[in-house]
Amino acid sequence: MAIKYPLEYEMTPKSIDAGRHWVTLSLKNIGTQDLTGLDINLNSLDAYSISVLGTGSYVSILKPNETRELPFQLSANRTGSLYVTLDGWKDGERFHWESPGIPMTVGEEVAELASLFAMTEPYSVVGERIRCEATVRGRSASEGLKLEFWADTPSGEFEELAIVETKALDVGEDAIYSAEITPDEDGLYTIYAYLYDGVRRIGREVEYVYVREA
Amino acid sequence: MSYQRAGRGNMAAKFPIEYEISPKSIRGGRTWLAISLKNVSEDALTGLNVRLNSLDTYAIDIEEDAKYLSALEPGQGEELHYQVAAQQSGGIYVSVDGRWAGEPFHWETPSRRVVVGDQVAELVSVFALSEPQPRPSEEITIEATLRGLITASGLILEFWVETPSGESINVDKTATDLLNPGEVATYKSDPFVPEERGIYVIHAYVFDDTTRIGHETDYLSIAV
Repeated sequence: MAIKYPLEYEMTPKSIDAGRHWVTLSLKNIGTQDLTGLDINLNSLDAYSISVLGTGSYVSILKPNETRELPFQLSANRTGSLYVTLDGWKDGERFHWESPGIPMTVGEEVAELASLFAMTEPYSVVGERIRCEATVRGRSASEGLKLEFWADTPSGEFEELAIVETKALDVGEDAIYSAEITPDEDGLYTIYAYLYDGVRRIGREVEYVYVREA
Repeated sequence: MSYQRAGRGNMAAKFPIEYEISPKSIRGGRTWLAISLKNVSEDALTGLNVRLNSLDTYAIDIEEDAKYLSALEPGQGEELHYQVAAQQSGGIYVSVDGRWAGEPFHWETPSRRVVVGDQVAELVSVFALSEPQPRPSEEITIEATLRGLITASGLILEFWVETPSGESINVDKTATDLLNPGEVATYKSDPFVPEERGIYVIHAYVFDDTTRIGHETDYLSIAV
């Protein structure tokens, strides 16, 4: 069980097939105070990938050291991330708790988009070239996937940076691909990497770069 | 090669579709969002599953997130309506799966932020202040930037780090100073020292009392 005080939490299983399936959320109060009037929700960080069905759960009291198991039904389309929220009362005071993202593998994709990083200092400068690196990890033998890099600029233009065809990848093998952008305005750039298997978008990662005037 | 085309009027474009999501700010509770789509290619788009997707269903939950359009002919536009349950500002995007000139295609927009209710401030960004690939045992500081939307004070800013082994560490927690509308303030966390190799997830949360009004993440790759 993972811990974010005052709760231990775990969601099982960690991988499911596409379609409608149930998962179980285990919550344990590891604090010293009663948690009461709990509105417990499982939330999706990309509803295109995974939707959570139903209204959430209500738990009237979770005493110290008490564990509850709560079922949630998912409609799963692609691998994605979920997180848990609790809104309720702790020792008579309102409180909000949430878990970090919990990855959920859906189906058997041939590869995953493991990460996207802009290889720059936190604040970049107008006119300075930035390299963005995406890591693709093989989950079964694959080749010829399509990796797209795009940038959403401060003025709202959505620019294609590069489209790459990936090389053959074995199970567990990582391959790094890069694209470059030279910002010409100050503000927040959002960099996107999309991984496609045919027309199936099987990965989406986002990175932010804040660009300042030179 | 670029698929980008300039949008006309208020519509943005990502070939082969011009699009607009409106309105950009809504009240909390149940309300509606409209998506305008226009086929700007020379071929018909058919059998379209048009989805409005939330990037945080706690913030914005879309009641029936998929609509079907049998065809969008060249030059044709359509407006679709989606009911949403909105609690906080959040990101959404549109996806379309169907056929373009008879061939299967997938299309999606970048994320767009929808402002919900009278939020007092927004969390603009969070960054780990480090070299692009820092090594273990180097001190890292996190920086978060807030922008005031209406006069706000006493918000709580929390910095958390999720380690590669899955532990959540509360790095720092601070009360913010008075923020006037449009004013920007930057806060730095106490330093933390990553000890593991792998990807750390950096979280910044802003709370107005017990309501979480902002959450942003950054990623940090710790090399050997």
